[in-house]
Amino acid sequence: MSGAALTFTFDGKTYAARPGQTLAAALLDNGVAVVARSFKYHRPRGVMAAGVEEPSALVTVGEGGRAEPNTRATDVFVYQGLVARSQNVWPSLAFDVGAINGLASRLIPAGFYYKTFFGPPRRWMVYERFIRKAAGLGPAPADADPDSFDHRAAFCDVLVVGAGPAGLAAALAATQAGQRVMLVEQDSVPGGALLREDVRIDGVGGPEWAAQAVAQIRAGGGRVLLRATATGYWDGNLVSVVQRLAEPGQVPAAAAPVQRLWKVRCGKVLLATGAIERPLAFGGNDRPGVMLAQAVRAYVRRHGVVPGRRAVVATSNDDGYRTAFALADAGAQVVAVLDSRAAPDSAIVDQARGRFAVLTDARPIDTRARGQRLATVIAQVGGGEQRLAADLLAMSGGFTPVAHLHKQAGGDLAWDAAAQAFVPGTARQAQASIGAAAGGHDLAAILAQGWAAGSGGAPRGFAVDDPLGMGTPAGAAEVPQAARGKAFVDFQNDVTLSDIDLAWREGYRSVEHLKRYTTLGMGTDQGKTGNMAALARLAQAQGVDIPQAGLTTFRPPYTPTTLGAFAGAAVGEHAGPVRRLRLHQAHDDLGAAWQPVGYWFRPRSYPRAGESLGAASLREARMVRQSLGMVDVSTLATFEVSGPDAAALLEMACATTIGRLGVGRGRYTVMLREDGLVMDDGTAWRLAEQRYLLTSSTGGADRMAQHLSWLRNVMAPHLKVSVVNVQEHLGAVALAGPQAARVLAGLTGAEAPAHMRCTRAVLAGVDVLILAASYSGERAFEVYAPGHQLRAVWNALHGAAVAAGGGAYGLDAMDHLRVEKGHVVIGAEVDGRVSAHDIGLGGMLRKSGGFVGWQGQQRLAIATASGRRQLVGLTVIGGQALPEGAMLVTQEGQEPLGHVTTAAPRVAGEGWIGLALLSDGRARDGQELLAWSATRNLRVPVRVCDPVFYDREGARYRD
Amino acid sequence: MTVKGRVIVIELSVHDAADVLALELWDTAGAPAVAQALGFALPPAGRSAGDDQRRAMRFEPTVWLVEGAAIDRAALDAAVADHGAVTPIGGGLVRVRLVGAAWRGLLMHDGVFDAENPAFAPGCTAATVIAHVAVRLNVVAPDRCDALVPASLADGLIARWREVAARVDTPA
Repeated sequence: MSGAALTFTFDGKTYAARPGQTLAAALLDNGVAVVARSFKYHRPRGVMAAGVEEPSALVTVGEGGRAEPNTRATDVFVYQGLVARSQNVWPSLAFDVGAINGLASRLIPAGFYYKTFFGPPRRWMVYERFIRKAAGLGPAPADADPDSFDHRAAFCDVLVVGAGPAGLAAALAATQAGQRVMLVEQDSVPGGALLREDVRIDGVGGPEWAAQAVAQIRAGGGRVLLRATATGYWDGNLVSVVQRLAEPGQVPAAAAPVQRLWKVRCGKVLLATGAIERPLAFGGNDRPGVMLAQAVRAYVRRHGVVPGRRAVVATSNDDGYRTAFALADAGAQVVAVLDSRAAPDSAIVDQARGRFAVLTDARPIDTRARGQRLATVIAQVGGGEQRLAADLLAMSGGFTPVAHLHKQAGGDLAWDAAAQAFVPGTARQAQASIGAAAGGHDLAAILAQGWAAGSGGAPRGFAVDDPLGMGTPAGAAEVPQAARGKAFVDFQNDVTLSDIDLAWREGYRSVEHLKRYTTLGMGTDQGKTGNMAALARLAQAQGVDIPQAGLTTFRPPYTPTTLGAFAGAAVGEHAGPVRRLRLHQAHDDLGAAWQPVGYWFRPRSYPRAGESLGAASLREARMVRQSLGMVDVSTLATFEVSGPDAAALLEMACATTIGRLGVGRGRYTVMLREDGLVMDDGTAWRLAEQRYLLTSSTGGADRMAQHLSWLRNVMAPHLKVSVVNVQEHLGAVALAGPQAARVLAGLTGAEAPAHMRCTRAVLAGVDVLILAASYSGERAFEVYAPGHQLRAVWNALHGAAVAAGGGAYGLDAMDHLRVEKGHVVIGAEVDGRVSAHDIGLGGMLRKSGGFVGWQGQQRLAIATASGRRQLVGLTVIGGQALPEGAMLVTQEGQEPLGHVTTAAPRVAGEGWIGLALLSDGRARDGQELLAWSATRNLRVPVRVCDPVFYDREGARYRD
Repeated sequence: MTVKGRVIVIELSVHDAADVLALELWDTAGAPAVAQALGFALPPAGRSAGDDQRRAMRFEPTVWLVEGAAIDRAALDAAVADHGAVTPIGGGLVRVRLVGAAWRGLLMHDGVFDAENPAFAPGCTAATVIAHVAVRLNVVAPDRCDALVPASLADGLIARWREVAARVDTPA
């Protein structure tokens, strides 16, 4: 091969390729005719197209985690060392046992898959095994993808999709008009149709003109992305673009991402997405050697590859003739041009008649192969038949404008009866379709249209030199009433004309049903080449015009998109942003076992060598009961509320009395939703005359911030109050246990505040706020300090705690302690369905009302206690652990009466206890139930009791 | 960090932001006194005023972030009086200074804000989300943008920025 500089392998054999060639071009160049086997019948398939519409030549490219299955050989550019494999074959591509399916095709017609669902389920279990093996595409790689993917935003005045002549003219005009321009092109070089045509624009060849246009756009500040496919068009003129920075299976540049997902927000979108050529429907139209005419031209002119030496061109339009000229110019023998029109009349046809055998009212009806490659074309010419020896059949059945993005944007389609094609109609967003995507076919007109679209209407002419002339608008081929053998419509899914007929006979009338019954239009190509022929056949059966037959939905993505492109950087175990505590390193130094809690990572416990997590947490909890423990509570939601109306705002948010709090005092409180159910709980503290601190749960922090913002800005914009979220600003350490007050006093030099009092102090040289509140049931304090100073506070507290026989404890110990004390937690006991009365807090609600949820909680359904799930305690009968989430039933298999919300080992005792939400729970005190988990096969007998297991009088934390 | 010879050339440094205060005014009557205390008028929405020693940035309708070693907190409190409130928030923030012509391109990664818009010039501010993190941006100079980042999320975002900044990027 002249000019070859690259080597690649296909099914283990090494081949040479020239830079810029697609894998399909390189395989054709090396004489490889069979590239794949078809989905259902395992028929040998070659390359049919030259772009992303390729339905047949699907291969797996790359190795290990980089392997990309179902890659179109037409959409991967050869790089040194590319490894490609055929797929869905056994034992080999040349001899595939699965081809027996073709012989048994009468037994597996369209829809047979659905019929296997009938009958006993065990029969399907047998069928499934065979069906999955016999049909399919390439397997997904088992290894993790070693590469990274990127997300990037972009904004522009004008986004042009497609760098063909229309798109280039539009982008050039917009750039020169001073617009922010972005031009995206899925190919590796600009030019589109110009790459396959022998034309000159303004005195230079098409590809050169395209390259110059891109250079001018870039020089004018425009952004041009190649190998970038606009995959989706969303509301608000948002277009998603996936850019390949490395080819499938290719190792990207050092540390570079392999693909980038662009989220482009545009003032205006110009869709210059071109048109896709349609194949003809005839028997054996899928043999290797049968190709789309424009694709053949692209291989000849762009890639320097002549896909056959003896060619027949079959066309329904003038454009097909261009391929005959291209082949002849490249040295191939054009056996005949089969024109389905009875009397074509144009300059290009006249030129062709002087050079080739042009047969009118002629069309292919069948083919024969030698080996697996096309050898003979059987044509119907007028009323007779001719057999034409040929190894290449270039077919053109008309064109389908690519209107996918236009439709995704909400646009309508109009019907072009002459072209027998849908073209973009009314646009719903700031979008316009230009060029072949809008049904255009004349190059000079397309360039002028593109320029006008980009410039806002300013006209400009382009000097186009096309030796073959303009030609007449492309008409579509008629779908034959009958076909010999298998006439494929959807090549990827092996759907034939007779399959569509069968679906019709079996009662499938809607195009959506037809699609699902036959699998037409599914797969990686989504019917880009086949849908129009199928619609035409359906319309024939219905006796209506094609537009009346209906359309399926144009869903994004336009081309298959790697899932990694959607994920971007959000991969790995956590797959999201991680919120780190200010004291992360301090906890790490103590050997913390980490627990993801939403975005946060918090210490679960601090196990000693050889100690289990369970044992460690129980030890830590007992340490708190016996002496002293400290836990990082920096994740609590905290808000500073200040101003003359601070109390008024808090009384709207909180269902308890806040306004009467004295300075230096605090109160446990609860917040309701508008429907009267509990949203969150926390504490409110009056720090100064007009300044409060409100705390609420970690899990509900963002929700509470939103709630307070809504209250402040929507419900009470008249209040003179400032609400500042200080969750990030303030870190906090809770100190709990019988020794807590003494240790704190020793560090601050001042007496610790009484329960539910607060004070300011200096600890380790840091100004701190101390709140005396207990979650554990012991005398306890929350010590708040600015985040950047918290480490010093922690270090001082930890040193003193250890000296007092205490230490740090984690989330599990904190949970054990609060369960024993009967405290609820948001997300477990407060699950969005409980009222304050349900969880025993009804008595706290402010009788005068005026808070969010006051009206809601008076609704009969909530106010009536009977039948509601209420908070209760559970004591395990026996020594088993209590399974969280287990149903509470009177006996196994009975309707659940409630569920275990939290379980914990006794800290001040032995055995297991738990909290539960139980229907009419308080009336069931003393009742024995079964905690039953069918999924875990667990059954634990429990006794219902009061939810407070420890120090009911509160003597432990009061002074 | 500086990555030379590549598309993205940027220096990224991390600084303390402990001095940041949230200043909320619920009526405009306090604005003149606050301006006197600061030494400059409070900026309109989406703008900043002042310099590295004393700066005010407006991201919300009624809230300014005030920062700088030269801020006299007592004078500010007195100026605000009953017209608003001042609340320290800097303990929860990290200031990331992005220096280099490519800071705009860096901020486009994982983001939704048009940092490449030339109108987003020195003196402009914006609150946006980058890589799921709420970030406040202040364009200090043509080749410098400061970002205030929540402390808990700063490690991840800064690591991501370093990763993006270090990459061999494709020419746009």
